[in-house]
Amino acid sequence: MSNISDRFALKYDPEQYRRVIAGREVILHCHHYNSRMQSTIEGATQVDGKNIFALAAEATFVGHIKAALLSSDDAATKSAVVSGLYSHLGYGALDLSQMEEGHVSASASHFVEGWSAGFGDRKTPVCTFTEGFLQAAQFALNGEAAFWRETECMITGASACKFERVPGRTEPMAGITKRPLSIVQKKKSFLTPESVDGAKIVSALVSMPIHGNAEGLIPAFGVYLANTPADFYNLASIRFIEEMDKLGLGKTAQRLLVSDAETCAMNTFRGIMSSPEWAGLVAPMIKQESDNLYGVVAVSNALGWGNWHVDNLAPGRALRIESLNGYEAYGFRELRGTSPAPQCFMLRGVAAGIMGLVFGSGTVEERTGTYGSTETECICSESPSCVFSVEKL
Amino acid sequence: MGTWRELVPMCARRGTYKYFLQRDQVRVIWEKLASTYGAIERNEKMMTMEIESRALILRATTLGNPITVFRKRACTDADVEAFHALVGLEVSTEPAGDGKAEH
Repeated sequence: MSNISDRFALKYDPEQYRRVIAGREVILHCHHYNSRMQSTIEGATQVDGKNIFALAAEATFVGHIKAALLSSDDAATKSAVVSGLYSHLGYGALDLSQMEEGHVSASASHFVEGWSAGFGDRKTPVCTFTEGFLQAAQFALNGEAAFWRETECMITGASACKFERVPGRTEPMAGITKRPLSIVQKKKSFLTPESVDGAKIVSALVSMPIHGNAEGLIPAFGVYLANTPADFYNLASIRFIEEMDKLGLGKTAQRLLVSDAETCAMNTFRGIMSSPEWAGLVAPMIKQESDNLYGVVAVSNALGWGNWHVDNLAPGRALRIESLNGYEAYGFRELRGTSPAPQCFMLRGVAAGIMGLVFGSGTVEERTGTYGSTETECICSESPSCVFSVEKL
Repeated sequence: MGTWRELVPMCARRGTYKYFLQRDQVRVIWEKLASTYGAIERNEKMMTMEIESRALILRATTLGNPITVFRKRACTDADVEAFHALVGLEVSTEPAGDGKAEH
């Protein structure tokens, strides 16, 4: 069992800006984004958002957990790998010692911390993601399809989160079917200010041990980070939009996801820019206000969001930013194929948010909506890259 | 002027402050923090240093000042008071969090 943590070693592809843990591409997002996305999807009253969120986690982790297990693992090792993967990715600490009896508890939770920080307390459990993870874990461990429900949650004041297995599931397990990708990544060089060494920022960040601490949480840059598989974000977003579209609300769903990302970008990067890590690594490179934008983009590239760069910047007024392999675009192509319309709602919102953060003034609420972002080209529409045009409104 | 602090905006944990130390006290206070909370971990690439204890995460650039202090879920009022005593900050009551500096 001593080599379990070796299975979670980060593999970083500097050419693609991709982070891979246990064979799956993961994206670093913080509690602001994860909780806000959960709030949006679960808060839409006309669709079953909890089901979308849980099944996205289930479908994602069935494969991810299997990829982390070895055929030679005994039962104890398998269990340790499952809880180890969960905490390594930053979701918290699971006690699986009574899983066979249908009980699991968690003493720390990324989604509790995130919701608490962003929205405060609530009266109902919040760890939907963990329910889906446990469904996948159960299936990966013994082939049993079951639902898991959170019966007590720290967000409501409980001392620990508790999950119970619900017997009698007849629905098949959620899975992921992907199309083979045949995208040739566009090659392009981008001009950056001499003072902002993007490669140094990425290198330093990639060398950071960004994985769960003793509580299975990742408090870094003033936020709680989590390494979440790209498949989860793509499945949850696509399914949410599709379900809303059935009600004629597809565009509304897209706007909500863009708005989440815009708010997230301002909150997350405001936290990052206030952090000792930024002060130590990036701040010495900042010579003028606009350099902050290049610093933020370099940081985001290290988070696994993709290979995106500033193509043209009119400080305070407009931004053209280009993404060569965004996880949303690649994910959509794998899951759904091509599309006549752009599909990168996270990057679109973030592009507006970082302009508001760097060049705006006032509170986050006052800055929200001060920049408008459009995805003018998208890999989903068979363009060679995704291009975002941001303008001051 | 002694130690003072500012609220950190948009942080994951409420009640996260940056503590600004007197220049000549930085080394002494970090020695006290290390002997109380555990060894200092340094990240040379990020140019940061930190100590993580049961209740607190103390993080700064390698200059050691200011110290950003995150309160973990296990953190109690007594933990905060003990930290304030170590860094020499006198606070009568916990503020509502308006982001203003306190001396």
